[in-house]
Amino acid sequence: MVYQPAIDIYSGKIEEVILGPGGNSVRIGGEDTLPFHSFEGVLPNPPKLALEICITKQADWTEEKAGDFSNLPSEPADLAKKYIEELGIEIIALQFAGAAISIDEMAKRAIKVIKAVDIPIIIYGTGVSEQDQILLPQIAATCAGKGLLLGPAKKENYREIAAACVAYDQRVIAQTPLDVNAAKQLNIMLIKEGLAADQIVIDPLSSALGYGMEYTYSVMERIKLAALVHNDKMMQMPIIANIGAECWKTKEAKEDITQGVLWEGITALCFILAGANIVLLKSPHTYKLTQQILSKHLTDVEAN
Amino acid sequence: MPIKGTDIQKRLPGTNCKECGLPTCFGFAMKLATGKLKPDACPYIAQSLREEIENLLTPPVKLVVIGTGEQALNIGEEEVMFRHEKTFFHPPGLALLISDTETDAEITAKIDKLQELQFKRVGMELRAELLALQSLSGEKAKFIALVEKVLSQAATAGIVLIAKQFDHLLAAQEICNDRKPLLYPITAANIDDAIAGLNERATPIGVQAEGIEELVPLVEKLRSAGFEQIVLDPSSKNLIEAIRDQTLIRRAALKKDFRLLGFPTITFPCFLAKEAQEEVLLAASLIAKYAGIIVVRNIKRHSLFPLLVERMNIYTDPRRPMTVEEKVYEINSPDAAAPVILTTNFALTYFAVSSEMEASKVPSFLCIQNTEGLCVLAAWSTGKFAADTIASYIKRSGIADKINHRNLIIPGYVAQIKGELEEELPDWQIIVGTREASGIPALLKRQKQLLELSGS
Repeated sequence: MVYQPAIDIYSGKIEEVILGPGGNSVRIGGEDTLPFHSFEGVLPNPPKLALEICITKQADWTEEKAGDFSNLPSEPADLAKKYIEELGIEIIALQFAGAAISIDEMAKRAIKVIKAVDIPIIIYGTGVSEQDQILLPQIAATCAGKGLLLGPAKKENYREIAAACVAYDQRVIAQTPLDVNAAKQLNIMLIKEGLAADQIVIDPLSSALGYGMEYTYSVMERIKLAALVHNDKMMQMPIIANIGAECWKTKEAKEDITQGVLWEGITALCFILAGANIVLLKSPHTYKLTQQILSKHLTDVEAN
Repeated sequence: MPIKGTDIQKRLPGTNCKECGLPTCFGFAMKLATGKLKPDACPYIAQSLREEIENLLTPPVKLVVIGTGEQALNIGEEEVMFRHEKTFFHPPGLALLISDTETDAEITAKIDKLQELQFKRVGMELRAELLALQSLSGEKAKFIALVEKVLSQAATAGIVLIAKQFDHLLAAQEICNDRKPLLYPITAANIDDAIAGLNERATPIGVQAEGIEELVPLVEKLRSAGFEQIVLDPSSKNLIEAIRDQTLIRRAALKKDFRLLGFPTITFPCFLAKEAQEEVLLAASLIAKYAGIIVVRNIKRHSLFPLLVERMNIYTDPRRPMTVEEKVYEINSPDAAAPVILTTNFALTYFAVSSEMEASKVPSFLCIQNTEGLCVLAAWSTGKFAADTIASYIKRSGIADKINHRNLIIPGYVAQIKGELEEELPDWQIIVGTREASGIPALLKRQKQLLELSGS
């Protein structure tokens, strides 16, 4: 028997989305094959990690061995600068979930961070549709041209958020609850609102390892296959996984920070293997570890 | 791709000679198609058809068994590239590497660790099942001593024998043959020794070569010598190569019907990673990406447990919802005055609710009703979580004997059944809980206060 490698060429291609302002922008997506299948296609942009900063209270990431992240500055902009300096992070994700402050105060704090740093910023809102539809357009308008990635836009509030993204040239996170068809539907509706395909990122909703991770994993694989194999234009947007909060609220992470880092790291890596183009992490330890795997073990030497 | 009885019939002699024991060739063809008879039963069957049928009746990825008895590891027999297409069947074996250059104390500690680190989750037992014993010292006696120590101290663990020297492998195999170990590596250099030296063709062997192309002729040679329990190692140098190799091997077997690659694989994060955490993430990737055996150097509680949970997640059958056992779960050591929450036995519902209950620190009871794995709304809409079935569950659950009050909190999503349920359970007061689990801690704290007030 003669062996011939079974190489697949896909008819579809993932959109390339540019995040952030001019000089320091970051590109995600753009591949014409499955994750890490550089033996049969081109993946111009490796998966990206973003580290999250809570707009109100910062966690303490002290851990015996893996470096010092205790007594983090409470001011989000200072923390952002520390992360950029010490970890070289490329993207910041501002998190608003659970913040018990007014919407105006949230917007004010977010804008302060956006003005203080010049790397791409993700604004991951409160998740409460009524709040986000006011908060996100407010930030979008004040920071026109910053190439922010804003969301989550859901079927309840996508109109307001899409309109702001169109008007002020921002990008949008389109969130649907673990449902391939609903994800496609929301993309169609966003396009109808005037957004370009390269302004949308799909958020299929991420669950943590041990808490339904496999559902997200398979939804991501199905979206990628629909985009690549079936050339479904409405599924070709890059995928985002927001996993920090989900991972760190598990008892397994809370009871042991080392286990928590691996819990978050394994969740991140699984989603990256399933097709996530950008992953939002909570712990700087996880960031370091996962980034090391990406650059040391998952970078195609020949392609560079 | 199943073969049709009618297609087989066309290529049989058609003489109805009855020598196969059936009255007609058609009858024989039908039995062949369903695998009830073997082609050999017909003395006149064409060689090509015989091979075709045998191929079609064996799974595209061969089942390989390492170890014996209940603890035996089954790998292979996978049918899909993506779990949503059907399911992944046999979770990869996790192996802990021990070399014969380690001290006696280190070896004992590792063996103990493997046996000690067992976990329970959603009614499943989770553990690493293999010890990979490596001849590194170059001295056969040392390697044999290691194998003997493992035989006496780890009565059930499956064994992988790793030695560059084939005579070490052979000597080790002799003393643990009844444990059905995997011998590794069989390479171009020792394949002739292996064919000559391994009398038992059922011995599981791990074949190693530089890349898939080099692997194929070795497998061909071994198969024609009668070996069928084969595990493949294409010597991937890093994770990105491993993803490529694992994908191409499985694709060849499933999509191209290329039988020489229709075997499970063995992978070695232990040789690719420098640090323990790095090793964990490499192993995690290989769990998702088709590995059959994953050999690691470190196991700690905090690294093995997440890997085992990941393996369970990835190998969960997507066609069947994950469930937990129907029973009354005690959370934070409840007493008779503790609040009671009711929900369904869909595992994710259980996890969400129980973790919020734990986090609330309020001692409480969680009644889990068997709804065949349906979540609250789905179970309600199909009648599995309606007033009558809930009432009958509450009565049989025995919760009434554990508490001194009759307050039952039901999920917010089934608020509409409150009235009906109160009719079915006249002694009980039904409290409508929150829709989302995140509201549970606040709810429990309020309930606790109310129950304390009414109790005093």
